Amino acid sequence: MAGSAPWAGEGEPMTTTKLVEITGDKDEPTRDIAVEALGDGRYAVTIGDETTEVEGHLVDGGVALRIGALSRDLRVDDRGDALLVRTPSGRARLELVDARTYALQAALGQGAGALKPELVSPMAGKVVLTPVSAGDEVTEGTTLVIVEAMKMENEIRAVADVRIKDVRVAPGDLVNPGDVLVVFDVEE
Amino acid sequence: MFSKVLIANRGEIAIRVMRTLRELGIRSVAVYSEADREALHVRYADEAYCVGPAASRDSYLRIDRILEVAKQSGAEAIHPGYGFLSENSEFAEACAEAGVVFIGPPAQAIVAMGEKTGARRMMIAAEVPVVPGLERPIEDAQAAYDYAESIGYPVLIKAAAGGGGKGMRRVDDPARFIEAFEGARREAASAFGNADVYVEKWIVQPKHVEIQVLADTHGNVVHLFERDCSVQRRHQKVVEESPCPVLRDDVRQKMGAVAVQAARAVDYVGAGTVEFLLDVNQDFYFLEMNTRLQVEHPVTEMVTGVDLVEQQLRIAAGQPMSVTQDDLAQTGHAIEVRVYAEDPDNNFLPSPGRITRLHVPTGPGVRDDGGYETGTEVSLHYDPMISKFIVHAETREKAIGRLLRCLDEYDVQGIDTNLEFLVDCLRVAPFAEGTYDTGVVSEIQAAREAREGLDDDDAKHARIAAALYRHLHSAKRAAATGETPSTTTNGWSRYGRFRTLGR
Repeated sequence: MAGSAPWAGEGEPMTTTKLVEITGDKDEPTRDIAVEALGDGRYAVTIGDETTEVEGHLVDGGVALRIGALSRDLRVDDRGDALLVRTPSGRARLELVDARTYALQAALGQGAGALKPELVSPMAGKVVLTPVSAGDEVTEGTTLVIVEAMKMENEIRAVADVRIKDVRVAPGDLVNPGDVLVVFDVEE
Repeated sequence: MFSKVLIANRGEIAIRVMRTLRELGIRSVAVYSEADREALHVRYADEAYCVGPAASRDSYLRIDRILEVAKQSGAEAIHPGYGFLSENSEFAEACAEAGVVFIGPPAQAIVAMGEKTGARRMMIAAEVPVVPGLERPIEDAQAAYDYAESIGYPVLIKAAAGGGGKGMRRVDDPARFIEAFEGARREAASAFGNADVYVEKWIVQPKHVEIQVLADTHGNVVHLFERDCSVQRRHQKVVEESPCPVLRDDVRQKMGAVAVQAARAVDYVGAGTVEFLLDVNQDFYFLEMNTRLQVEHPVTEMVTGVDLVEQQLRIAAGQPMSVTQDDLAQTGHAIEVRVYAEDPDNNFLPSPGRITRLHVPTGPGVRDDGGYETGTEVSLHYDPMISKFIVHAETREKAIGRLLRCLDEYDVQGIDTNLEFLVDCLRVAPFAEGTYDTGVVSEIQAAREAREGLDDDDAKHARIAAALYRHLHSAKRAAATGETPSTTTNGWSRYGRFRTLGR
């Protein structure tokens, strides 16, 4: 995860972690973030070209921050690929990946932002209905699959106009989060 | 009093009932499905028995197995909680036959209130106001028109076999009545194969206000005032409070008396709730009676100081209830929210899974009726409610402030929840003012959609916290493996070393 680390005096590692934020924003798809340990629980966090010096440590459920005199206890829900951070004005979903891993993935063509040609199940449940078939041209908002979970039917709809290449599930199938439900005909 | 009680339920309500049992020194018996082996209600109970596979119909709804467990464990009574078998008259009868006390009303009261049109007729006979409407379907358009004129517009035309909004028309203008009537009949015929329609009065901007009642076997019936449950999404209550912020005191007294009348009309015994629609003129109309303890019962407990489960137990044991109408008063203000495992940003899709961290707020006037803890799993087989959370304060304004403070502290990690949506419910103007009606959720949704993203400082702080989190965790991992961060995390240095070794 982290970067180079010459040992700084008094036995304290002066490490820097270089990260890339995948923003999902068209104009600025990625943003560089670096965390440099300054010792004594202090860190310089650089977002883009703005550096902020903070004090901080891990706490149960998140990170305690002090920015000057401002004290912020922020809950961080680690979902693996994303960190969900709760703030007073709402929840931030942040995808921060190690800069080197990101560079490697980009080289392999697995970079973020690529159009997903498959609809995967957002939850575990039972397929109730698949109103579309291969070859159908559907418009945004069309119901593609209905999955029942916890006694409730959930309609999963198309987020864009698209052509259906394949429907991989049938009524009665049990699905897990991440299972492919429908494959789209997406132009390369 | 009983010495051992079986709880034919799961999750938070099972635990809520067991808590009172424990306070009274009564042993509790849990039943559970195979999917609930590790569930908290199983651990909380004094004894626990598996009654079948995950699907409710094979476990929590298996009357035979539950009664077998009652016999095996020596439980003298069964508390059904809410949902599952709580309003199943067959179960109440089966308990009686098996010689086990069903903690609920007599089977005949469940039947009387369960059949909606029959209940309506009984309520009319008992002089309980109902929504003005025809008791039988009507075929003749002109006769229907005349009836609509007599009850006043707007009116609702609805299919007798109805459901899902089909064969349903709201009519505001008499000139359009005939056309709407014929349309509804056609739609009903094609949707249900039955063209029968009713005509009833449309209640404008109704509030859902309900009265808690208690009745014992000694002829005592009391009401414990109202709960306003008008914040509903897809007919699911989300926020409940007592007192109702707009209810006039004279209307409150009248509603209470009418609810007692309704309970007496069916020889009711136990805890029950009479639901009403309250219109803008403070006229109220009987909707239905729920013959069980309700999810929102803590709101009443907080303002009256009465433990409803304890009263249920006393009544079921044949004792008189320990309160009289004169003892009862509403003190302060209570609000309950239902914390669900669902994603409000994704059409409220349920989000089952393991809770990686659960932190419940505390402090004065705070109560959490939960069914989970850190590390436990919200199963996709059952209702996704994580907990009902209740606050109590001197005034409504203070109760809202307290609840907002608590919702900020409430933390559920690993799965999505409606916590932010609940905050939006409390903040929307009609709720803050107290004038909200059952349509308020659409306003809450509109407010959510109109909202801009995070404010700049919050976004920046979140980014700093996330970056620091990644940094500190990689350092922690490095420390755990006994290596310096540079060698564990720097792939290039490792690569370099391999090259050196491989040479």
